[in-house]
Amino acid sequence: MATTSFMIQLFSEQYFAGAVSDVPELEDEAFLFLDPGKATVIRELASEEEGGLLFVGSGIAPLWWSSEAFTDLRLVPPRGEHYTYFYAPSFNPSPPMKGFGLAILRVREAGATTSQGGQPANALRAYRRVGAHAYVDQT
Amino acid sequence: MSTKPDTAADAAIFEVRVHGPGALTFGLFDAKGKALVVKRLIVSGPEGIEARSRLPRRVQTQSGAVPVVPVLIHRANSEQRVTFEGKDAAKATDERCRDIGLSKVALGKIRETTNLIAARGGDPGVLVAVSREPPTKKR
Repeated sequence: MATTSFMIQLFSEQYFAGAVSDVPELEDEAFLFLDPGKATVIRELASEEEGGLLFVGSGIAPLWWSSEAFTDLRLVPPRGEHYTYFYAPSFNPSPPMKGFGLAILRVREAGATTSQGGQPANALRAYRRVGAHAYVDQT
Repeated sequence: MSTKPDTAADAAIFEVRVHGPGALTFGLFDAKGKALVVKRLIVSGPEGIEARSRLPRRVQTQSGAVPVVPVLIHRANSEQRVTFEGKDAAKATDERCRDIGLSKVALGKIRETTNLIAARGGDPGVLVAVSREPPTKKR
């Protein structure tokens, strides 16, 4: 049977100016509709990241604890009853699965804040660049 | 099938939706026309690919939370459709500018910044400043 291959790639770059004291959570998604009548294989799923957060108070300190954005891919059936998740990095094909009409590639990373109820906040400098991709086959 | 957030606790968040592949840059500007957040998304894949990003309606700064205006700064693929909160990006920006009451000076500054970034093909050209805010001069 013929196999159709799809690529889903998402690049997200964020830059926060000096006055900011709150960097919200990063949550970006790219999605693609699939043929639920065909078997789906996730052939590859990966991401990489550059950048981070700096705390600027009386001194300057790097403020981060993860080297990579959390990346997953969800397969969603046409009625959205239940998702099947795959987590990056993976360079081996998944088992073939039928009945999924949507693939959602998602990158996530926690936010940070220095604001605390009425107190003067310290500044954060943030710059993050995340690239993720998934290769999906349908047969 | 839905890709909407699972909870309704996101009234403080606005959603950017992208239909089709391509690169786009958008920013969040305060009432003075200063860019507090600049974000670039690049989506690659088949024509049917879509993407979603979420950003705050108010940005927390050292001097408190400030309302912001989302502005589509650059779009590499003119076929790509971009919406803010389900509305055409330009229309949503106009509405938000009216809500916040941006001055002509602020609009001029926004235009200046967007022209600068657009001239670089949407690349915000990040330089992370690690110095503290300069002290105010005493008179």
